[in-house]
Amino acid sequence: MARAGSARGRKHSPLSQDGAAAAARCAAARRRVISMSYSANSAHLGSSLGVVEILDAVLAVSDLRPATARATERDRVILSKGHAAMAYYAALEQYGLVAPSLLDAYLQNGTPLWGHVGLTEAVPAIDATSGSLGHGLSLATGFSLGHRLRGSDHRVFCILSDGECDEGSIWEAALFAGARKLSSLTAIVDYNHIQSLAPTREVMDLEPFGAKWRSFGFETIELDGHDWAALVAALERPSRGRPRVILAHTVKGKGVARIENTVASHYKPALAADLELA
Amino acid sequence: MRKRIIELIEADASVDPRIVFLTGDLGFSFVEPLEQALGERFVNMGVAEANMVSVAASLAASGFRPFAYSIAPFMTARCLEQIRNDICYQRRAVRLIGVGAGFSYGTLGPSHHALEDATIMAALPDLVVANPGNAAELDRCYAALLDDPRPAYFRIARESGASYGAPIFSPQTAAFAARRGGDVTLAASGGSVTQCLAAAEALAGEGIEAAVVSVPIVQPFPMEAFAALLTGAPVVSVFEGYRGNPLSVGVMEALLARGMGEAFVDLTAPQAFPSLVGDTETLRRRAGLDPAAIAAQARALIAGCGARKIGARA
Repeated sequence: MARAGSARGRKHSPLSQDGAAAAARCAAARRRVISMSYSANSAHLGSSLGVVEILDAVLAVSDLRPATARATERDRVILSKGHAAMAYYAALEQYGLVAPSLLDAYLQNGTPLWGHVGLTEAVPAIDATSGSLGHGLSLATGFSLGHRLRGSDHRVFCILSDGECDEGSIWEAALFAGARKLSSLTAIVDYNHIQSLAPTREVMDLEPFGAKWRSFGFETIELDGHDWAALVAALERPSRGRPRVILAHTVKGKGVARIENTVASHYKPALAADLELA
Repeated sequence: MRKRIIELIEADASVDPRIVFLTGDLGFSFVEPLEQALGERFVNMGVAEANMVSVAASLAASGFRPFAYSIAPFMTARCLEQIRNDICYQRRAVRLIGVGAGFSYGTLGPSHHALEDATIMAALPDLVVANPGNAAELDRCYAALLDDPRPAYFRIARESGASYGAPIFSPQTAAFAARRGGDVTLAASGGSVTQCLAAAEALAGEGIEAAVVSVPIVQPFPMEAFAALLTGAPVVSVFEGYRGNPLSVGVMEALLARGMGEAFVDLTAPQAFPSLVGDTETLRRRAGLDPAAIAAQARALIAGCGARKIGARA
């Protein structure tokens, strides 16, 4: 039943080979996130800053581009941790997938981009609504099953938070995807070790995290989630015929020293001073 | 009616390669022919309804026509947020099938009864709620919703339901007279239509002519089609579910819009989990939703109206 690995034989995206350009995109995205958080007085700054490299690497590897955004037959990218919406919008902007004017007007009344990701005609690149945790991996699994039923070799990328893995539905999806060997599916966990109220190891320790995913039938890769080249290499590794999870260790609030690795960075918006440092 | 909806999907499956059937590991002795017909498009999702609903949403986004199948409470309450966010918020045209409407699963116990499902599903934006009263209604609901871009919940009773027929042209016109009569109107949906037809038969023996109006698609409520069937006679709403169900809300709205000229009584199940075992018929009788109780309520309502009219004249 298992199809040959869907990532196998695919050409590497030209974008995925250029680390300097990626660094520039990530820096720009980070500035954009800080600016959006400041101007909209928006929470989830830390959650957004930590996932910048992950989102850029996923988009670099995927075939999601302005020309393909409206197509059914393409890779799918799902931000399951929908509270990192600012980073998602900023990453999409770097790939021309969202109008900059929409980000300039972030959270203003009457604009289409909410504080948690929702489907909108204004941004066809958005593949799934999120905001309540624990839905994205199932939605990604559905896209992956759809690819298999159509005989498509397209891929599905799903970015999860670590705290989100407390949700039972994550493990319902993992059990199904593992059992069915949905090799087109890659989950990336933004493993910043901090959830909404406290460190993950205090709230509900996820470790041994990699062993859990392996036991569910996932190929498991653990890496530094700010190492863009390592992320790309892990995403482009030929498929081993089963779903893949990348446990990407990150620093919540990465890039703004005063908030790095703090619970408060989940809630407090950016300050004017952060804009100058970025 | 479980068998019937599987037959309908099976008939479509052979001509429509977009149909995908997901089951939450249920449907023993019903779904096997469908599995044969669909091949890999029949997917047992395991005992994991939340995942099943989200997977169905993404299959719809991928160009498929997904059906998700389970027992009514597991199909609705267990995975409510997945239905809310992934199907309704994302506007994915998934067909949810919940079998065991109302007290269908009688002695299996309250965990398997479905008395709040229609109310909860009707509260969600865009979701169509079909609650057919017999196989003919089911066929017509299925056909009317086949190409509808909205998601739909099919609330399916175990029993076949009494036969009678009338066309459903669209969800908006899905209300019709299953029986004519000028003394009282029994408005019902789903399994209660059969109960009301039996009640009307009993009343006829006493010289009371009861109309039975069936509403197989309760959300959106077919307001105009239903209002057109009101005669000025008193109205009894009968639904195998709790108060606030989409049938009684719709009936009340229709009556209020007319100035509440008709006397009205709303028959629903007590909002409580029964502590003692009962089969379907017993539970219905205890809830006052059986033909005898419906007829008694109709009689009392007619008598009450008479008293009010006399009082008004005095």
